[in-house]
Amino acid sequence: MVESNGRIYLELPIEKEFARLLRLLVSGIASRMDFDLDAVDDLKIAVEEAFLAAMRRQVESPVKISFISSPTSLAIELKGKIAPGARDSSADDFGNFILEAVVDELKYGDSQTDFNLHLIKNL
Amino acid sequence: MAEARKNRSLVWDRAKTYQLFAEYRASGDAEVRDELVRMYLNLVEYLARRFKSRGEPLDDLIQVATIGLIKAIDRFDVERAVEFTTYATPTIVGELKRYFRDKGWAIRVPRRLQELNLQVNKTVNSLTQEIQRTPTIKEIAAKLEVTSEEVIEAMETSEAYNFISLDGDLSTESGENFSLLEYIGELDKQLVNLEDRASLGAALKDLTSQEQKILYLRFFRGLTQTEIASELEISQMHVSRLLRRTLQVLRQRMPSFNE
Repeated sequence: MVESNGRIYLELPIEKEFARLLRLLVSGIASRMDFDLDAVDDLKIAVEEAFLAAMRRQVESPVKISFISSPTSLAIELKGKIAPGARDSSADDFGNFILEAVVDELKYGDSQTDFNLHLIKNL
Repeated sequence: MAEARKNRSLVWDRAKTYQLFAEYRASGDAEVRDELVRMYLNLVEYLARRFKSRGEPLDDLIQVATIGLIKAIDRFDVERAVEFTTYATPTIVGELKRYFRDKGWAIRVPRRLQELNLQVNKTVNSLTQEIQRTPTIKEIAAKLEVTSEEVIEAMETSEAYNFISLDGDLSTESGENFSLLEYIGELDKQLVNLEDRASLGAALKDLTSQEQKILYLRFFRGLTQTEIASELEISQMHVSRLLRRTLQVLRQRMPSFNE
């Protein structure tokens, strides 16, 4: 994990139990940025959902996660290689519905081979 | 049998109680204390039975309550103008409640964190009132004179807590009977996946009406957790915990949510 100029990078095995680690990490980052408690809880839900979205998309380990903080927002990006032959299950309406409710911007930049999920939460 | 029934009637010999306490204070004799314990075992059993619907074996509860009784015997001042039963009852009930509070933690959480968790909970409520907005973690940490990381850790431990309402003040069921299924039409605007919608309907049945309401207020009405807490008159951390549980139940029940 490297931190410089408001950027934190992390690589995690794509296993459910690491979702909790992400919750703790995002709490720490958000707290340093002075997000209020409601926003911190939203971010905890967001990273967990995003991580599960990567699992559903059958992203291979490790998934690369970056947190980029600015004076006005926190951007979170999840990137990874999609396993060969994985079926396209990105149309998870409910998961996305939850994600949309807890972040200000949500963007998938997926291709057949790459998973890319970009989230922004404004301060 | 008649003797047993008499013992259950919760009547005690005041003169004998006074005499035994006087003896125990003078001599510290363990046998005298044991006799006092035996005399008041029916009070212990009576109080333990009041907690038996909470899923713990009665024998264990009696054991816990007996510890409370022994503490009460050791602390009771016979010169006080108060009946021993009046003094002992809150001590015994306190011991039982503490037992349930500790048992409420689904995984072993250090007492330091359990206590900090309760303090954070209280501080969130009081700070929200004081500053008229949702506090930040730094503000909570400053108020409690701990680090932000300790607050985060304490907040996360609440996820390990199976809340058991002992006083009914934080009941998981609000009086009204809310059903999100009645609002499912609103989902149509958001969800087009028919399979998901049907599974969602089934999954919702596994949630309490309060959990459904929290889900509705947070994700359909866009209320913050603090606003929901205020509306349902529960703590923000309790909302957070229920919301997490709700999402976990949905994940388990909905096929596409769980792939």
